[in-house]
Formats: sequence, structure tokens, C-alpha cells
Amino acid sequence: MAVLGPTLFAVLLWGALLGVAIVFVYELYAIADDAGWLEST
Amino acid sequence: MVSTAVTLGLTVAVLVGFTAVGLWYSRRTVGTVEDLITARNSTGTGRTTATLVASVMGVWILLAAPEAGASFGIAAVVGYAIGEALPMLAYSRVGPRIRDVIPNGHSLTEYAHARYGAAMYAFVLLVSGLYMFVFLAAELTGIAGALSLVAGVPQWQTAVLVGGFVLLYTSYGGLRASIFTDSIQALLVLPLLVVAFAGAIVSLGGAGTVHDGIMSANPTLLDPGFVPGLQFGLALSFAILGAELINQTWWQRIYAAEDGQTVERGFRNATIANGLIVFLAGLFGLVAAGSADIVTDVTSSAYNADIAFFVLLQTAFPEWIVLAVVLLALLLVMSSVDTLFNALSSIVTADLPRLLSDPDDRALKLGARLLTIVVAVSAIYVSLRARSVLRLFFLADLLGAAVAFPLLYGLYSRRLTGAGALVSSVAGLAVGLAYFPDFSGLLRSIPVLGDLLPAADPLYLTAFGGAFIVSTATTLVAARLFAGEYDHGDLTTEIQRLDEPATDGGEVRD
Repeated sequence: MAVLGPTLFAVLLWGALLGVAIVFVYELYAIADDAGWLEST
Repeated sequence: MVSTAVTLGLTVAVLVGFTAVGLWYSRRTVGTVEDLITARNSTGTGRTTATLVASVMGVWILLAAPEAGASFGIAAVVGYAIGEALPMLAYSRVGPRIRDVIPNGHSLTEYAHARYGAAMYAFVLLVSGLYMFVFLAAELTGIAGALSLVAGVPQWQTAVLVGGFVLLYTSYGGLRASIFTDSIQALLVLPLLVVAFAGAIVSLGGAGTVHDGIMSANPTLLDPGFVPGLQFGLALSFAILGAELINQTWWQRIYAAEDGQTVERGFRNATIANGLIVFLAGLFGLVAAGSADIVTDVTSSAYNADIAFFVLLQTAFPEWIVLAVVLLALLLVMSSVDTLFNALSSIVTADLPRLLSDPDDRALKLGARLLTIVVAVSAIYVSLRARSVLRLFFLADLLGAAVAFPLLYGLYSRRLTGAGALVSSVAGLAVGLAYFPDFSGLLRSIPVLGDLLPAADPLYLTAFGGAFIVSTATTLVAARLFAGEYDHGDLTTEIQRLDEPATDGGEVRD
């Protein structure tokens, strides 16, 4: 199988970083929701 | 190298901060022994996901995952990521079932005893305890080695400081303190991981430069079809799946979640999160191999793939990135170590009512805390003394791969007996050991048996895969052959809450 080219490698590397960043944003939202901080008054 | 004083100061500040938070939170929430080891129905989806991520993501993601990437390339990284994701996916289905059939449960060992009897219980206790203890000692060894490498901190100081401070809040606050601090640690670990890794890529000149470096060093690392990488990746998938399925950590969190739906959502979220984190960490093994002097020949005395990420860190990175990684490593270790202290203590605490004569809640709480202290002191001692603790990791994985399916299949099958589960586990273990490369000389020195054994598999695939597949197949055959008629309702009556020994039905929803 051919080796990964520079573009695909960059996509994987930055994509994984973006994925973890999205997990962080989701976690922030979900924990705030658990704590009741997102409930409208 | 960053200053030892700055690193030690940062370490102590982080440890003191989390210990204070853990103790403060526990003062309001810990009442009975149930709070210490189960924290029943207390976490929503967000906190459940956070604790599932923080608990398993230890400093190993900066050590073992990059090692796999640097040695075997992208194929092994994918296998590692799948291996970490699969147990979470499995528990998103098995978790709600566990709550259904054992609504008042605490540990996988009490389930093993009630479902299969004393022999399988002893086997599961040994395997699960060994896996978690090796994990724990390896975490302390890992952080001590990492801080020694990047900042010259004496290893005993790191191990004693981390183990001691985490023990303070875990012995007092138990699982509730662990889960609360996990939530904060997850919210710090995730952005730190992104910032430190993104900063590292930029410092190295961008993804294109990194790619060029890997192509110069070893282009097969970028080949998704590299056969040894695929074999090792698949081996890791079997190993991690088996080991995590017998990890008490998850059983505790299944009961800590608010209800069955929360368990399902939390584990599904963790499937994606843990897979992504390990994939990213593993990719940094490739980055290290292409940008630093990494030796991947295990027979060489200069072998350093096991610390590839930290070797990379020493190559002209700005001090702020190094300190960010030190902080990241500390948070990763704390979140795993508190989890494992509590999980190891809980598998024995849950059995105390059976072993002692009608202990009251005070005695059980004292027992849980004393056990936590024993676990912590032993782990610190072993991490400092036994340099070869990491070699035991694969053995613990092998045991997990052999016992996981027979153990969990009993949640669904009425026909599988204790003898059937035990025979299946032993059959899987025998096949796995036959191909297991570690201790291979010892096994092959046994008269007669040694000559009959096949060649050991240096990439572990036939060992881990063989153990898992043979134990699974034997379990399915045993469930058809043996005429067991187990009533799962017995699990509800036999396993009771520790703070309410009477058959009150508990307070489990869903």
C-alpha cells in the first residue's frame, strides 16, 4: 500500500487535533448542562 | 531542560490544588461506604463522559501510544485507537445490562462470585487486581521517569509526591472525589493536549516538514498497509479490549451514572473521545521518529522509542511547551491514579460483608480507606523498586483477553456454568501463553511441554488474538454443552447495597 502523502498526513494530524478540540467543547457544554448552568430562567 | 525547582513547584501546586478540591467536595457528599466505592446514581452524561476519559487517559498516552507509532507506524496507531475505543463501545451495551441484572452491585468480582462461584471469583480477582495494580505502578513509574528526563526531578520525589497527595483525597473522598476531580482534570487535559501538540507541530515547522522528516527516517511508518504494523495494531486491539473489559473502574462508573441511558451515552461519547485522543498521541510517535533521534531496535541499549515523545520534547522546544506537557502529564497521572486507588480498594471492600461477620457502615468505611492506603503504599514502593513492571503489562493484558468474554457472557447466558467459564478462560490463556513472547524462554525450558510449544509471536497477535478468540469460542460451546439454568434474578437478591443489607430493592433507576 502507498505511503500517506503530505496532504493526507496533514489532514490526519490537524484533523485529530480538531477532533480533540471538539471533544473539549462538547465536554464543557455537557458538564455545564449537568450542573444546571445552561437552564434558562 | 526546564528547571527542576520550577517543575517541582508546579507539581506541588497542582497536587495541593486538586487535593484541596477533592477534600472540599468530599466533605459535603461522602456519607456511607456506598459513597466511597459506588457514588450511586450521581453523575449526568457530561461528568460520566469526563470521568471515562480522564480515568483511562494516563501518562501512558505520552509514552506507550507514541512508542507504538514510532516503532510500527500509522497502522499500529489506528489499532491502538480502535483498541481503546472498543471497550467503551462494548460497555455502552453491556453497562445498562449490568445495571438491569445487578441493580445493587458494586464490583465485577462480587458478580463473578455470585454468578460463577469461588473458583472463577478467585481467577477474576487475581486477573483484575493484577491488571489494575500494574497499570497503577506503571503510571507512577512513567511520571517519575518523565519528570526526571525533562527536568531532572529525582524519581522517588515524584512518585512519593503524586502517590501521597492523591492518596490524601482518594482515601477520604473515595469515588465521589475521584469523579469530581476527573471532571476538572478532563477539562484541563483536553485543551492542554491540543495546545501543546499544536505548538509542537508549529515549532517543528508544520505538518509538511514533519512529513518530510518521517519519510527520511522511515517511510514505512506512513504506510497504512505495513504488515508488522497491522499485526501489532490488531494485537493491541485484542489486548486492550480484554484488559479493559475486566477493569473494575468501568463497573464503578456504570453504577455512578444517573441511569442506564446515561451509561449508554457516556460510554458512546467516550468511544469517540478516547479513540481520538489515542490516535493523536500515537501520531506523535511518528512525529518524534521523523524529528528526533529515536532508536526503535528493542535489542539496542540505546532503545528510546518508549520515551519518544519526551525525547522529541527535548529538541529545541520552547519552555512553555515543555511546562505545558509537564502539567498535562501530571493531570493525566492524577486522574488515573485516583481512579485506580479507589477501584483496587473497592474490589475488596465490596467483598468484606461476605468475609467479615456483619460489619457496620463505619467498619466498612474504615476498611475501604485502609485498603486504599495499602494499595497506594504498595504501588509507590513497586514503582520505585521494580523497573521491569512494564513487562508485566502485556501479561496482565493476556490474562484479561482470556477471561473477559467468559466473565461477561454470564450476564446474558443462563446456560453457562462456573466450570464452563473457568475452563474457557484457562483454554484461552493456554493458547495465548503458547504464543506469548515474554517469558518464552522460561516456558520453553519446561521438559516435554517446552518442545511441543509453537514459535512465540514477537508481535503478540496470535497470543492476544488466540487467547480472546479461543476463550470466546470455548465459552459459546460450553454454554451449549452444559445444562446450566442460571436465574439472573438471583443476582438481584444475592448482591445487596452495603449501607442497607436488608432486601430493600435499592434506589436504582432504569
